[in-house]
Amino acid sequence: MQFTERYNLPCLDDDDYAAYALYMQCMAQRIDAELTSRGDLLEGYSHRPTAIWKTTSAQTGIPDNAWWLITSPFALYAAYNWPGAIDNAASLPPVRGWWQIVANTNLVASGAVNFDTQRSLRIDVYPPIGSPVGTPVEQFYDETWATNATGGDYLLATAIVYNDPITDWYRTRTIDCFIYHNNTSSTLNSSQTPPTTVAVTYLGDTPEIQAVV
Amino acid sequence: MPSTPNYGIVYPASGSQIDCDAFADFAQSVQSALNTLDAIQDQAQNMPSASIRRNSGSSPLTLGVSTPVQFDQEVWDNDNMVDLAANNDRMTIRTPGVYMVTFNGQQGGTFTTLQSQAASIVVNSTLWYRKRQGSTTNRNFATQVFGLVECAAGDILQAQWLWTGTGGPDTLFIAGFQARCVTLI
Repeated sequence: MQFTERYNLPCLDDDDYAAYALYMQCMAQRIDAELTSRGDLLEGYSHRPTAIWKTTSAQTGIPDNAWWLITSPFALYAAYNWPGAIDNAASLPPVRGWWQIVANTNLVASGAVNFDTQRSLRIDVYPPIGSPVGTPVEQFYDETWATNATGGDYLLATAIVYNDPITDWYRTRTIDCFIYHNNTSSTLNSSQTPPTTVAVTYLGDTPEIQAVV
Repeated sequence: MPSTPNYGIVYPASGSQIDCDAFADFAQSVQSALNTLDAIQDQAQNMPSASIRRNSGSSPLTLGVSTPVQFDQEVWDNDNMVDLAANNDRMTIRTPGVYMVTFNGQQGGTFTTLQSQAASIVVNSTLWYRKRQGSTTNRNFATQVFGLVECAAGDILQAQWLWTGTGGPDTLFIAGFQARCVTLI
């Protein structure tokens, strides 16, 4: 039996010209393997690793003029097609490629509002052993100015980050949310309307994009 | 007759007699496998998605109340999520999944003072994402909001707009609302 170069499809030799059954078995198995490979890539496109975390209680007493890590407990709200274990802390799994991260929080003053003072949300993506004091591999912000409107000031940030598990020794990256404000007349609370939310979804890597297109 | 493990391509057992029917069965089996792959590809290339706009006139707003935006143009819908004739303020999810939802709007009516604008994504009347901005120039401006939302079949997605200040009536004269499934569940 001979085989084609690229897809390894069988062809009969002179010596096995009558071996039709063997030929068809080899051909069926090669086609099955090739279709399985392509089907898995396509299934991966429509079933992307995706997760959403939400805080279970409000963060209270956030002081002014310092970056404040939100330590109110996050809980895993939903996760699909996640490779390996996932817990209640927002994270990126060790899967190579581009990931989109979205974060939303609502800050409400516990007392007096200093109109037009700064409100900032910062998202840090840490290497596996860095959180929360190491050097983040990605950092992105949203910023607005206090409106004194009923309900609070809502911040929303997003970023697309590249995850390289080789440099991370195939361990999970950590995502942390920080708050900053200069409302000196009172501390701020993060509201549960809505809860502080972090959501991530896998966008893909170059080989996957090529296969689908 | 034996078959392959994943796509069930049938082939003759070793040593069996081969006739024209065996080749026909083989060809039909390969075709069936390709049809299966076509369905998977079609699903991947047509993930449920929809886009609607406020294209003419303006959507009314109520001062101090987060108001569902009324849309008047269906731009795209491949999963029967939009029926503007029946409900012009929503999309209804047909296929369970996690959706990337985006909403942007431009306020454009009258007011005396403009304190803040907020764009919101609401699922079954529950606020999921909101972005609020203050007005330092006392002029109407644009705001956008986006986020990942877990949806079941029948869930209702709405885009809402909230403005605070005095005077009015202010309106929303341009708006776009999109949802695209990023993962099926």
